[in-house]
Amino acid sequence: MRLMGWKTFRHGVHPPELKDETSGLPIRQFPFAPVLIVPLSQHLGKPALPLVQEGQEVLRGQRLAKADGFFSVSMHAPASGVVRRIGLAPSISGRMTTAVFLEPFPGSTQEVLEGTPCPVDTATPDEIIAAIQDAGVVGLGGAAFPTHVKLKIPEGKSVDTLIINGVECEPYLTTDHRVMLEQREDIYLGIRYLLKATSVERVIIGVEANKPDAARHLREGLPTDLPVTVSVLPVKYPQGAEKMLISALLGREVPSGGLPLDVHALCVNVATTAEIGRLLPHGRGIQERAITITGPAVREKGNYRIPMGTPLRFLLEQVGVTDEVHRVFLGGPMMGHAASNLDISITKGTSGVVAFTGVESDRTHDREYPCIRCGYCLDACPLFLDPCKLGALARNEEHAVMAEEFHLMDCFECGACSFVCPSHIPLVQRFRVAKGAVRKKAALEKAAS
Amino acid sequence: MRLDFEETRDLWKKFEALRPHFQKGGKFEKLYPLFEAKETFLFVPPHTAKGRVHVRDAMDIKRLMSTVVVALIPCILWGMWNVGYQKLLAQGDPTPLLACLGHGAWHMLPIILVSYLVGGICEVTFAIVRKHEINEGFLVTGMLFPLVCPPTLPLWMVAGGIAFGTIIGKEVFGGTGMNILNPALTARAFVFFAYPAHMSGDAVWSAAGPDAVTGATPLAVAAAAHGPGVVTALGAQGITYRDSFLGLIPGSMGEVSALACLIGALILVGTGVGAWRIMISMIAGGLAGGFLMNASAGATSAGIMHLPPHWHLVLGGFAFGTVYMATDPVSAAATHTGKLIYGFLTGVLAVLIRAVNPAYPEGVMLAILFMNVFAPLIDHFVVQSNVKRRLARV
Repeated sequence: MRLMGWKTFRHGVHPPELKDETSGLPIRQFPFAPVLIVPLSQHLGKPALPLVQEGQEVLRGQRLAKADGFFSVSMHAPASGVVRRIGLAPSISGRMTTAVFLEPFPGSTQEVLEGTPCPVDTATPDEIIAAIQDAGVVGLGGAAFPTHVKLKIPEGKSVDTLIINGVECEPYLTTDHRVMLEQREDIYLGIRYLLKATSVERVIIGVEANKPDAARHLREGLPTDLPVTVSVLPVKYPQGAEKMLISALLGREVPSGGLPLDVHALCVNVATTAEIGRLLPHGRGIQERAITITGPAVREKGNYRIPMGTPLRFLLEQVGVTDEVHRVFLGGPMMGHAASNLDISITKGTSGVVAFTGVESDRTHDREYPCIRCGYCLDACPLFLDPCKLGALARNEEHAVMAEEFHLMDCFECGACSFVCPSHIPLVQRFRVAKGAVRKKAALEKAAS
Repeated sequence: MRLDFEETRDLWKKFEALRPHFQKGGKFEKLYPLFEAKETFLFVPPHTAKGRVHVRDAMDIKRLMSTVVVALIPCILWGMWNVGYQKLLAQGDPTPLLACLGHGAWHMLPIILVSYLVGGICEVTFAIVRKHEINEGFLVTGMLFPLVCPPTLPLWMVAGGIAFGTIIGKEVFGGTGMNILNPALTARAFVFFAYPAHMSGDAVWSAAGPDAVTGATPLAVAAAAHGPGVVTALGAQGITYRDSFLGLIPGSMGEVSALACLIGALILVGTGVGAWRIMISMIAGGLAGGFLMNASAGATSAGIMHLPPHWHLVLGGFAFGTVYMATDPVSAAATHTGKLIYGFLTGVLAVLIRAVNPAYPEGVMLAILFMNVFAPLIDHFVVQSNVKRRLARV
């Protein structure tokens, strides 16, 4: 939809952006940790099946694990080294997951292994989709949804617009911004691959107005033979969410419980697109990704290209944190998860590491006040749900009512309601719990019948 | 007024030393809410969030409540001056600024103090018994109530009113956020119906002694007048539109000045605390109600039926009710469309009660209380119509 000449979506919030400290810093290569812990489940879907054994030497870029079925992707070695162990490791969700413990060779040149190239001119759509799955590409915006699954358009559905998501609406994060400035050619090559795989007619790159240099840079290098437009959107959270971006750019509303496909749109993150353009011509896989490391407690703030599986502890030691460090979380401050443990490793879905001191943490203190029905959350919710009512129901654990009458399952947990709530009610946190309970109940009922 | 932690470390330490007495097993265990309230009034407590959303909007419930109190300041100051001014005027004395303020404060401050004291005691008692926290909401209620009372109200009635408003209007429903009616208006309604002689009539609006010549409120004048010449009748009493807008008329302590309410409205709308939808629609409703009355008025009907619509906005509690009372988020409608409907109906109803029932010239209070009851229903229908519209589109 349009608002005073600007394309945007309705509702949403304006958290402080706090991007200035890192948005001007180029992406730098990060050193290898003494041990890299590479989880086999860094994506949504089935965990990958390991192809290596304990004690085996691997080369950087070699495949460590293969996809288990269509809804899964491969995993590649982030460094040349020895597989020390395959066992359980802690993950950000709190669960232990199977991981490959890889010890890089200290003296290695860390040359990346070349694979079978997938040339954009000659490859068929199915070959490109298979190559993307083999390269282990998932949505790098944070959800880590396997990209090739999106590209495989089911029979009877059609897509007319490909949206490249360069919004990056989370406060603090600047990786997509840097990728747009530094990897323009990769992005356009990635778009060629995506166009060929899906035969879509037009491409829109959505960029928020706080990154004018990125939009300008992309426009300047626009290849004349590509049907691409760069669209600048006003700054608003959560514009980077698929459904909101589609609503902003195309004015189409993804139906409840539906997918972007239902409104003939397809959304791919800009960093994911750049990775496709970077990896496929060489037949390589993802072994590292760009991450913003920032926050008031971090000394060497910046954007880094970090090998997958780098443990959080090593990462924080390298950039240095002040003594006042109080809380570390992966992802942005709105949707990120607080780390309970520093042995968690960086995965494909990690877009940033933010460290807060006690001062910032205090601002989000736990004290909960009564709901005064001010309606701020109603104005914030981008999906037009009723967080006020849902919150009251969540308190009494009326999960079934929440799901059936108040569309709980439509909530994608952007946290806008919790951000604005003047009574500091942990709304989105409760909705997560409720969604988990509803899913569990559905699974149990299914198993019983 | 939150204190900076560094500056007050010593004070904080002293309080911390007292903490064990207030915690479970301590001497004053039962009074923990009181101790805890000190902490939240003075300091930001050192708790931390653990889940998602690691940043928060700076607008929290305390700032919300304090913004309302700040927005009330123009009404308080004007009211203080006007109470003194009306008194001196009625006594035939000169009316210098400071003397007016002094006389006004003499009548007004005890009422505000009693309101806060009694309201606070009720709040604290309930917090202790129910083991919940003391909420800043009573700072607003305790200030709103005195402002809608006449300056001559006996203090024991103030105490009874605010106690009724806090307990029956709010606490019996489960405390802040759970009340159906606006607690300050509930308090006023209680006093109005229990002690009508002290809340209505001509004699109560001026703080001057019984011998002085006291003026009736413009609404009473309009209700008593007959036929279309109502503005002339008001003029005969020395009441002009300009005076009514500025607030140079007798009336409840804080609500005489539409101008002061307008300044308050700007503060509330500017900070996003007050709902402009309710204010605008209530004004529209008041005007619509006024036109309706004019159209249905006969030559012999009461003067208030003939009162031009724009007069309704500046007389009595209409402006005050629009800005501070109807916008109370707890008791108002929450959806956008709901707010518009709620405000409009409140405005129409206020004028209707005023004009049709001359016994209650102050219809705004009753209109808002009445619509408070219907607010959840309005919200329900708005939500249902949204659901229907979206279903039809699929």
